[in-house]
Amino acid sequence: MINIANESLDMELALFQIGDMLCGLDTRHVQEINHNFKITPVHRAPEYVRGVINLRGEIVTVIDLHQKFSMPPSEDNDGIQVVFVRYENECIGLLVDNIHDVVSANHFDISTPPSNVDGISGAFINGVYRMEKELVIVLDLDELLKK
Amino acid sequence: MSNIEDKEIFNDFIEEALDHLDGIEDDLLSIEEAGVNFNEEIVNKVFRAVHTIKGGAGYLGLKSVEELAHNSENVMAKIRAMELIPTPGIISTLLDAMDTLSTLINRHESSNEIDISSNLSSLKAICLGDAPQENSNPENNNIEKKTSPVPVSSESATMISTDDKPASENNPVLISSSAADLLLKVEPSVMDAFFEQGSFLYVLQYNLLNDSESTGKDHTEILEELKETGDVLATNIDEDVSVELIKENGCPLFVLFAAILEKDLMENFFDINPDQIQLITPDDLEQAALPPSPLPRQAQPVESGPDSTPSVLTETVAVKTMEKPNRTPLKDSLAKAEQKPDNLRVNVRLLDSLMTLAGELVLTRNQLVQAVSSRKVTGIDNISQRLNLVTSELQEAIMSTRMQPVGNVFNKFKRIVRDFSKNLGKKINLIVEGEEVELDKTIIESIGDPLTHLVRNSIDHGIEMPEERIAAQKPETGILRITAYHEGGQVMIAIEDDGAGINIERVKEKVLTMGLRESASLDELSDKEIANLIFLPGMSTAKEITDISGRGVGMDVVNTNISKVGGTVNIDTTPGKGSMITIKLPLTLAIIPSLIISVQKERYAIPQVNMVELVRIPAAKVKERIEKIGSAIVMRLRGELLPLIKLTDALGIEDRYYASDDTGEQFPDKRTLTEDRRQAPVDKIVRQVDTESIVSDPEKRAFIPDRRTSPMSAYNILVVSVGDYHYGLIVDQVLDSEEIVVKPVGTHLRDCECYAGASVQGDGKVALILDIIGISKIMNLRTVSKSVQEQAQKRAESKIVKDTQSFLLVCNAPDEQIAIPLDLISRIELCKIKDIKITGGRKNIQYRGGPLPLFSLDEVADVGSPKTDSPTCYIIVFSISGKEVGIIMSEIIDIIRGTYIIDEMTHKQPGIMGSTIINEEITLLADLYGVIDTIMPEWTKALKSKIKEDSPGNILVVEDSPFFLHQVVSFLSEIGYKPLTATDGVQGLEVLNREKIDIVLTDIEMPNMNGLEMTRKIRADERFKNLPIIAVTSLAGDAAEKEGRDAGINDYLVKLDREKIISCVKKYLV
Repeated sequence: MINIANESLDMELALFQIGDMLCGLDTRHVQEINHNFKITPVHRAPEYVRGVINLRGEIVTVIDLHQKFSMPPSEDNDGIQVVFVRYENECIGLLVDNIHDVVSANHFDISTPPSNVDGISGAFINGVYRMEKELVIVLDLDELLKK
Repeated sequence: MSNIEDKEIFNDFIEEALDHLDGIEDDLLSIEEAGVNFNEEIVNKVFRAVHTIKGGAGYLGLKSVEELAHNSENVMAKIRAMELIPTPGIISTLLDAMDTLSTLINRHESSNEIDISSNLSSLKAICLGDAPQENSNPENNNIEKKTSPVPVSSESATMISTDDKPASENNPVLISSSAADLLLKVEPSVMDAFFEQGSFLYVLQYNLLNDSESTGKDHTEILEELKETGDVLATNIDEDVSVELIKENGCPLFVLFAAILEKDLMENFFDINPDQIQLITPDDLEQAALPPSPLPRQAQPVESGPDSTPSVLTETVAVKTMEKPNRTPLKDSLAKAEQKPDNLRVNVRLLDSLMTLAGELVLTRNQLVQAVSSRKVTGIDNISQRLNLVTSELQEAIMSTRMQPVGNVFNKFKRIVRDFSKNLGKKINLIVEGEEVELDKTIIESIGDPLTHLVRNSIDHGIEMPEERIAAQKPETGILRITAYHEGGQVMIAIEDDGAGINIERVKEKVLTMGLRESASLDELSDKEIANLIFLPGMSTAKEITDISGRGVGMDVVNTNISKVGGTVNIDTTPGKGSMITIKLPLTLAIIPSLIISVQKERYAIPQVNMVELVRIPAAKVKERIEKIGSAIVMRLRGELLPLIKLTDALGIEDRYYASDDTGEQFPDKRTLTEDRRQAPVDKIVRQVDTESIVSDPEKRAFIPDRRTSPMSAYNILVVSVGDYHYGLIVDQVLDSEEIVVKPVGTHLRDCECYAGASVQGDGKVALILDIIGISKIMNLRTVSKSVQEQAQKRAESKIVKDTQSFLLVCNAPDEQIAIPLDLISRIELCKIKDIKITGGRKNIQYRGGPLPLFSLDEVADVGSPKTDSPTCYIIVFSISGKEVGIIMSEIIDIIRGTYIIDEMTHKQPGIMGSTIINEEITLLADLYGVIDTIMPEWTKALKSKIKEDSPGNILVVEDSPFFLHQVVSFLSEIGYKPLTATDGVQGLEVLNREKIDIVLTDIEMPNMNGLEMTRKIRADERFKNLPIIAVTSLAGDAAEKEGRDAGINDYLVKLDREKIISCVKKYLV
């Protein structure tokens, strides 16, 4: 899906925090960002599935990115922020800690992922975007949501 | 392979083509039915449909499709032109072609590699007049005869042979053109020129001798005619040769002809049989050029032909056989077939109304937004009402887009019935009714296979061979009726045949040999129940396995598939008369009634179709009713052991806390295992109510007491059943029943077996829908057939049946258990204490439009009075002297069934018959009659009216239980009878022989000789042939009653039903 080399020079990245990492996701995949949801837990589901929520009648699976990145699961249930993405015709919610901003990124500033990024398996990273002060990990949605 | 990339066009074509094909099948069958007098309009319709497919396929480069469609079209054209009579044979060929066509279209990507030669050849054969069955066209026979004398026939074979023609020895197609080759001399360059122009080259063969007779044309006229349309390149007979000479020689006229007409058009245009036309392709020419052909002159019958060509022939044949294996076998490629797009056709009018509604919705939203932003409260009622209206209408309209007529499924049965009945040599008339009944698309899609299976079964096993039918004095033609209709908000589909019915004995035999049931348990089943056993896995009663059905898989699959969509299957069968299979289906799957339950504060939904009953085991009963066998928990339910699953275990939830309903607080749950609880002291003062068998029926649900004051102590068990699984699910709370909208869960959760989907609750939260089968799989539950087997065995072991009584256990005050004979109770009502009115010193309650007099036990007996501090109480309703009366009770404890020794002495008092020990507690036996008799003596007067002294009549009462014996004797004596007694059948017979007896009242279950045996003995005696014998027993099943009546018992009465017993005795003694 995200194939930077073939895209136009700029892409919009939605930035959010997972643990102490700043991550970005191509906004074309993002449907909406919302919070204040009551998550219904689903037992016997894969560990990274936090539960399901009702998004205007659609049952949306919520995935805890902490679990995906082998971090301890986020405890705070009230201040939950969910990034809703479209993936293969299905809406999926990504549980994140904090929503930051949407930035326009020049693809020259996005470099291939270094192989030794902490706490995150390299497979989920599409690249690293160098902002002025920080580095943004550009996530690979395909890898992230692949079963 | 197609070179068109645009998938959209492809999809459109496929959809349209399949649509056409669907219709064609039906139309072909009706053409067949009509025979000679077919409806031209239908033929035209089929013709057009096939033509459309041909056109589309040609455009998309689907050569096989095009070719097949083209050939089918030819046959249709002949039928249309009345040249062919649509015999069953021809229609079969066409149907086969249509089948192949739809396969080709479904797998359009590799369609060109599929071998369609058999279809093509049979179609072509029809075109040639070689109809597969009885020949409809007399001319065709002549053709074969005519062609045979032609010297150049099959052995000289083809050099210029077109590829698509099957090589068959006796087929007239093989009229050799090599002969023509010898005779027709043309420069290859000339021919090439024609090819370049896009013309087709043909070798036309006319048998002048016969053809000219039939058409009245001689060769010159033929050539003239040809020249008008194309170019005659060469002939073997010059125009100036005299007709007579030709006739003498009987030689054929060969014409090399170039025209832009396609082959089939040639046939029509020149009125010439296809076997007389041979298409020549450039490739053929190259081959033909290889052997140097001698150049003979004119009108010479061929001689040299046979020698010069065989080698070439074998070569081409060899090439052909080599090619064949390379073609993809149909089956393999079917598996690879790409899934066709899942589209739904919606009526445009419906779509329009959806648009209108959507518009309305937007308008209403605007109004609402405006009203809210301007804080204008006035009019908001109107808006909300409108919103409500629009939403429901929109919902309804959208739901209806999913609805499709069952006719879509039924239509294919015409074909199936036709094909299979023909295969089996049976005569079947199919009647389809209710095609217009609509069902949800998903259901329609999933019932196709099960229904097909049932229809096949009816054809194969149900309807007999014509001879057998005649022998059974039935019409030769069997009737298969498929009906769909609405009933009670569900759709019923009935498949009915007037065949042999299901052989009950064979089913029994099979069940026994398969070891699916014990013979003891089979004896208890009615014929209908046995017939329904064919849904067990592994059952098939067909004597031998046929192609169509009887593979031993099937009915269980049918059952499973139907229950997957929430339906049920039922069989009714009469041996010799036929059987009827009824399928009950929900209208839609999208909304299902279900029960909302909770565990650990999480809510779940269980579809109500899976529910059997709810059982609540109160704290005091947990110890007795729930047991552990190894690590498994089981419950005693009516004498059987029901496996239990804790939902928390199934879902892997920790038993962390339970929620108090009153406070909403969460308490850590200390109970972990059943054993712990069983040792816990039963300290509850308030007895829990055990509502046994409260079925998921809204009316009865009113009985469920809201008694969740101590959720710690009681077990809520949902008894569920799906297919072969039957078990109890332990949940924390049963909340409510709701119609839920089923929604699919995301891909990440598809692997969770325990959920069937999700639904959104009223508060916007999600409740997952439990999958009963999935849960039992997770918990490794065995299917029911096994456990039933075990149970049957157990039952057989404990076959010593005793006289059992059913009691309703109730109580007013703590430590006081009262039993009421269950058989006497009409029903139980739950009512509010404040609704009970006291008028004229008597309690009563408004009930069903009239007053229901109420009494309580403490009015006559020295027992505790009903509690007044709780808001509700129970009313035990029974009837006396044709009146309904109620007894007020505070609590209902249980329903028990068993053999109890009743003590008549200790507690005997008005309103109390005696006492017994039930569940280790002294239990008073209420005397309902006594209560009324004491309080309202005038009500029971009619019963007590003494019989006239002079006609006492001698009654013999045979009863082994002293208590019941005494009861019966005492109330009979009360009204003036002097009954004689006996305690078993042997004694009874003795008394009967000794004394003159006018009527016998007997118990059934007795030691030494039971009531049935005694009755048989009595009946065997000539003297007592007309002696009335009345069974007085506990409520018996219909089967037992039937057995009794067969033995010679006149009437069945319930023990302790004083009123009925007396009136019955009076009736027989008058």
